[in-house]
Amino acid sequence: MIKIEGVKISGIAVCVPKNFVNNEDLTENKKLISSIGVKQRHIASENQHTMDLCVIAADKLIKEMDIEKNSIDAVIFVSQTPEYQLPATACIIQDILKLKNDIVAYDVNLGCSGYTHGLLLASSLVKSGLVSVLLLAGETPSKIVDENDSSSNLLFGDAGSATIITQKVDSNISFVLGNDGSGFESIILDNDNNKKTNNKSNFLTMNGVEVFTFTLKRIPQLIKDTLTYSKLNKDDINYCIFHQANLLMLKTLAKSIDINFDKFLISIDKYGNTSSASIPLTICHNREKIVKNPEKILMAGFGVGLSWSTAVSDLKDTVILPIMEA
Amino acid sequence: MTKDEILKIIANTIEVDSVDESLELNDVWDSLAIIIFIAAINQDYGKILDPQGVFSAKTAKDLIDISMQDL
Repeated sequence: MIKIEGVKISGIAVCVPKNFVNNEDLTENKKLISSIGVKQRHIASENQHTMDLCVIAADKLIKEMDIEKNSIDAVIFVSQTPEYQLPATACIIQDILKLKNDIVAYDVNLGCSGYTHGLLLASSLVKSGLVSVLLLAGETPSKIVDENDSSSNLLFGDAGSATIITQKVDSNISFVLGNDGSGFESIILDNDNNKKTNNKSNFLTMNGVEVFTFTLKRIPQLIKDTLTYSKLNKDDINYCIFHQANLLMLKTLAKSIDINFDKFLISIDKYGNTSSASIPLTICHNREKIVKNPEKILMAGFGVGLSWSTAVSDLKDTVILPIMEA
Repeated sequence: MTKDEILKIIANTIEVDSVDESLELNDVWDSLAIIIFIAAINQDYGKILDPQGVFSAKTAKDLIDISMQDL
């Protein structure tokens, strides 16, 4: 449990591919569509990658916030679909965005919990004295999903996000984080024949039942711990912005932690599960609601790893841009 | 939690009007059905079922036994 004082989420932007697919065009299984809650998903074109979507979001955010690029002291890229195995995509993005050379730049290999983990890393850097940090979280699962695997092919969408974290007196973000590597095979892409797993594939494989059960076991306690640590009760929370895993899971979690589902902001119906981008995407998708009640926002990411984390923050005066398409 | 309540959840899960204990799950018991069943038991009774047990169930009676275990 970590509380970082003097930091603020100053701006958030998201870019999705302009191409989208309707799930009803892909399957007649309406029960599956209603359970996962995904009606449509945006899918990157062949030459459009996670980095491209994040760069568009970042460029727009920097311009809209009129940020001096020299004030950006770090760029963190959170993704499991990086541009290359090496070098780190953040290193490339520094050059594309024409950021200064005396900058911290590195990648974080996390998925569903990546945004909230990334917020902790960015906040820690700001707390250590950096002026502002650019956090990029995105994924293009369409590049790694088997088209014939209906459980994942209908679920995932592509998106890239950019978030600016800056110094601000009297502002703070509280975090609770955790990990259980014993479940690492539950969501995996193992195309390396040297490894000893049972999931050899060139595509992402996911044991949906195991992931669902993991979530039911871990996340309600995680939320209780977060509220206790933040000295809040569940009625204090204005909005729950959870990783958009699937609609059934979100509804089951809401009931389990006994928070009215009206407080859960949703984007999965129009964008699918976009992994580490799903929390900022849900914020941008619901920006008009959040602007009216920007205090005490509970964010939670959970999944591949198996990894989980929460962040409690105000989004008062945060620049939240409408979702862009490219 | 009663047997009849669990049978009703099973029927809702596989989208039929009603089932009895002898129902053989066979092809209808895919991963989506398992998740929907686990979610329903959790939502209605706050219980988290062992996924392997639900996955291995052959009949509706197996699901009743798993659901009522440790009550």
